[in-house]
Amino acid sequence: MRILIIEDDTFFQNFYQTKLEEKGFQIYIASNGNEGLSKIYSLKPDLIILDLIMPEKDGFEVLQVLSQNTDFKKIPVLVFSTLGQESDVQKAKQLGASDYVNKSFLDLDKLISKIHSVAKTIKT
Amino acid sequence: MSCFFCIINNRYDGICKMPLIYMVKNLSYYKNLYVQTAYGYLEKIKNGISQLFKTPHNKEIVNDTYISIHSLKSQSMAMGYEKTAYLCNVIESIFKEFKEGKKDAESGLLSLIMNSLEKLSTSVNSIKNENVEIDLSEDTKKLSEAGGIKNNY
Repeated sequence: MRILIIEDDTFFQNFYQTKLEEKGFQIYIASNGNEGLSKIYSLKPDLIILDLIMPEKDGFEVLQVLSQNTDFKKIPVLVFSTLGQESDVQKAKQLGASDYVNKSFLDLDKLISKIHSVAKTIKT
Repeated sequence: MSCFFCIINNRYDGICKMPLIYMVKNLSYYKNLYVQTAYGYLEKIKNGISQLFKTPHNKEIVNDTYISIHSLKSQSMAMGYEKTAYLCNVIESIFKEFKEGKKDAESGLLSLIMNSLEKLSTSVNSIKNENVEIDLSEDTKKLSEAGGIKNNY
């Protein structure tokens, strides 16, 4: 499965790319919303993991752009949340995110379970 | 599985609440990565606040600083440095209110945040040298009260 992680923080890019590749996923990284959208267009990933707070177009703006594109709005999106972001997660779901995972917990089992769960969802 | 944190705290109830980071290999690699990036974020935040003293309504500086403190918070939480994360969360909440126009970036509050950043730097130094964060609960409480932020920690 090809997964695009749109995340500006080097620490989390490093951790999640390393750990998910060890589990057999093909991982691509984008460091901000603009780069993320560019890679979505070129790669057409199977799933997107999206941070919400980023420079150069945040996760909410990315979700809005995706929701307006007939092809790309079908790609399931898992958002990364962290401490104090409950309302941000709700907003992201209203914009089309399939689910969320708390990136600070570094819970790989939970992340992989959610990846498999949302990947089965065909968005219309 | 018992991580070293559980072992050093004599906790063998089978429920390890520490982040996975303590149970993975290459802990020192991630700690070094954390420290390196934390110093970078702290520098950016301090520079941002210094500029805000002169131009308190600069939205770009507010947003850039907000993103940096958010990142520092997230990483600190991931590494299990909860006190550091909670103080970052208060600063982030204040900056969110600056962003949303709910609060002005006035110099008194910026000075208090600057003091908190010095404490955060001390905490990161302690993590680097002693592998442990410092107690920031009083600083968190004071800044929450001064910033009008509801603090559940």
